[in-house]
Amino acid sequence: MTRLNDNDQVGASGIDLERKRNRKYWAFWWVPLVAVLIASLGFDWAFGHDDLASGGYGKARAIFGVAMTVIGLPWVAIAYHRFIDEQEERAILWSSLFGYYLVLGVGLVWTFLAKAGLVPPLDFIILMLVTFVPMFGVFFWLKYR
Amino acid sequence: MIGELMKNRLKVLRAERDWSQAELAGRLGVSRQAINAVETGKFDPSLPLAFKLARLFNLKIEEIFDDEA
Repeated sequence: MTRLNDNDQVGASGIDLERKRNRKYWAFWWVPLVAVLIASLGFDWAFGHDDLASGGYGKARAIFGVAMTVIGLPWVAIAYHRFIDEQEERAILWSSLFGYYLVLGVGLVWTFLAKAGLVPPLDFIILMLVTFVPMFGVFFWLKYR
Repeated sequence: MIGELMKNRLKVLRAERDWSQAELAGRLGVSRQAINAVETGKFDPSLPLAFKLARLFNLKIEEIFDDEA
């Protein structure tokens, strides 16, 4: 007998199940964002009155940022990748590969030009942004075209 | 892999049952975009999804997909 999963609910139509799945999908995008925003505002409210020089506010924000990156991000990422379907997974994999080649290419060219004194030293934030925009383009093209 | 993708009869089978892409997606537990991508030959489903499709339509996999594109 086939095991029932979230999408095999007896009595529910396919459209209902698809809508439910869609709602859950978008929750993966906005729930973590709202959670981080609320937590961030909470930090401002709790520690915002501290003098930055005293270290309390800055330290708390730094701990929060590291905790979000080390614990929150992997947790959300694992949950997200367990939920999405194979077509989206493929879009992510191809866009990530595209981004990897882009970082490699742009990074190398920039480094060599910087060594030759033709451009300023490599800026990782700009490199990241230059990579992210086409990566998202590839992702959306593969998922929604 | 970049290359030729398989042809399939998914759109016809779905139309025979008067199902929308969303209906089929819901029954399979995937997104509507995934069904659209399979139907239009932009994406080949995995073996587990192909089996799920075959079971849903009560057909063999080779009766839905054709690798001689």
